[in-house]
Amino acid sequence: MTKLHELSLEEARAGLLKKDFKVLELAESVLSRIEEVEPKIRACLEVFGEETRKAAAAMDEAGPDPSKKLWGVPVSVKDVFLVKGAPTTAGSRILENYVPGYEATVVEKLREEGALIVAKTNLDEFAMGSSTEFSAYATTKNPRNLERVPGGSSGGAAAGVTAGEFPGAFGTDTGGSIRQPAALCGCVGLKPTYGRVSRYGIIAYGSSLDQAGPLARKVKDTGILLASVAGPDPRDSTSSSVKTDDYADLAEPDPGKLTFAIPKEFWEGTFDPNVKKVLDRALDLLKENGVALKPVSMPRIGYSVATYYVLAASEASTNLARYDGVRYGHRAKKYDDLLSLYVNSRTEGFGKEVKRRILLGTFALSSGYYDAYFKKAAKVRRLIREDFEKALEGADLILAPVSSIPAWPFGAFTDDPLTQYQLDVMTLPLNLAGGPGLSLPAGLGDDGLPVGVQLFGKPFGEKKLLEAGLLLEKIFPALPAAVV
Amino acid sequence: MPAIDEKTALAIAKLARLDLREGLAPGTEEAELKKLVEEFGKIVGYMDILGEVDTEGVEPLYSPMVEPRPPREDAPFTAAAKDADARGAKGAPGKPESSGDPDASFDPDDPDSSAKEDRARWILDDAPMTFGRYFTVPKVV
Repeated sequence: MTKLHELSLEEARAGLLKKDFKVLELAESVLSRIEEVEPKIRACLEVFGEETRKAAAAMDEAGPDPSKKLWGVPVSVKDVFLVKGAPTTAGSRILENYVPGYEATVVEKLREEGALIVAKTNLDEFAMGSSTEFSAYATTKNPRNLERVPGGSSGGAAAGVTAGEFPGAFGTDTGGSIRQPAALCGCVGLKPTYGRVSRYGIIAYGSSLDQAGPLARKVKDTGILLASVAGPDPRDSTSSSVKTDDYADLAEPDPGKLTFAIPKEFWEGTFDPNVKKVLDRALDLLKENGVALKPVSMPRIGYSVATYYVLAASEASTNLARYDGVRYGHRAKKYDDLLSLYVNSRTEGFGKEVKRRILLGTFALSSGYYDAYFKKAAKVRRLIREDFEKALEGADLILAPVSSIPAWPFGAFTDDPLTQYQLDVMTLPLNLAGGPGLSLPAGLGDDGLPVGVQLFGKPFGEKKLLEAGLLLEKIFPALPAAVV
Repeated sequence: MPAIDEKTALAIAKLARLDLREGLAPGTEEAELKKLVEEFGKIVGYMDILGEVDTEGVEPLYSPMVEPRPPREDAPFTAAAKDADARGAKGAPGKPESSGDPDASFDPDDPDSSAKEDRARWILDDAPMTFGRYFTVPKVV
């Protein structure tokens, strides 16, 4: 018999509304699954057991509310979303004792839709990393293979969803931090268009790139989660007032009427042989099912790693200037004056990858280098966006791999930042362009590790993206549940 | 393009309010610092490939926002009004505070507003060091 924690988000919600089981029963199942697998995978930095039980019991008392999109559904949020009264660390020592007094709009909306915030998940410090190894607090393991990284920076969200700890999760994607861990763990991850979801109350990394989005085991579930949080927010001036669609009401498209652009810059690189085999098979399956695949070129994609790291690091160096040991966060014990208070607090509080990016950004923004790095990168960014616009002119969506290698062993790249940055080449371009992207499993490699593909759409075309995702989910081999 | 030497790296670190020497083991400190500088130089060196792209006449793209939203009215808010507004009328801009005194927003002594008190309390509670209702720093002047 299926255990309640194994249900998809859609199934769980339907069962709750029909009173097949109680909110508290679902919550207990999820909490006991968390208790069972956390010692092995460490996806969570905090679990809200008592709060969840209390809220669940109260909901059972009140009875089902079908007007709420997530009534009684347990959901986790990455530890960059502010949750009132709960420690919010961003995976950094510098925020070890930070307890916010207000909530992120995403969290507020999730609660309004009846979700239970069950846990806060692990991440690379300030969402800077691709393996979750740069968390100051815990090493999250890939539930498909405990010797491997879960990807990052939303590694805890992807690992937890894949292991059945919760049916849905929210992460953030600045350069692939939702899509890449989803691919490496074997679940679904959606990066919405920049501005589709409010950034209010989310700890900032790169403000022109950051976007919150859902992870789940099914495409449909990410649609329901997006529908719960999308829309303008008066507290975030970069949130968009473009009309939202009903992302929870999806219809599978006719494959014969679908054209995917296949950019050679994404597909012609060097791939791990296991990954290559799954990707080739995925393309064959699409063709067999009647999807038209149109070869295209996106000539500036090769510059996206340099463009991204200059811009993201510059924005990070500006955003992280606020951590100074005065108003909140870590303050050094030893200092002689105001300057050494700043320097010592920041030097003790930040980890090495964060420092690396602050240095790079400070350099790119400094007098004498600004034009050659920051401004130049911003110009190349416009050209990269043009590549996306052009590729989408004669196609419905763009199809690309997510990662050229499967989940790697711990420590493989922690001392080789440049190689690590270059591995992000498939996910970074989308954030520079600003559009939406959906990452979903294409199958398991012969090594037993999941391989993902991603679809890119036009800005605010999330619905079309999700509907195509439904089709791919049906065509591609389904992944077995992770055995942890 | 610039080769990053130790002097440049230390100057950048100073601008970023970071100490590159902190945490390096005594004895091997200089060698470790050299390695850090080399690694930084390698990363900056990689970024130089941007120079290959012809960007003549291309305007920088600093944000992917499609339609810039009008800025909020330049008027002070009270914390309580801001909260109520954001919760109440979704999508509507916040109502400006009519009294116009920005300091009034965070006055915990205002007996009328427990929300204000609550806000002031948690802001101060998160500070590593306070004196009364103030953040404290070492003497500057």
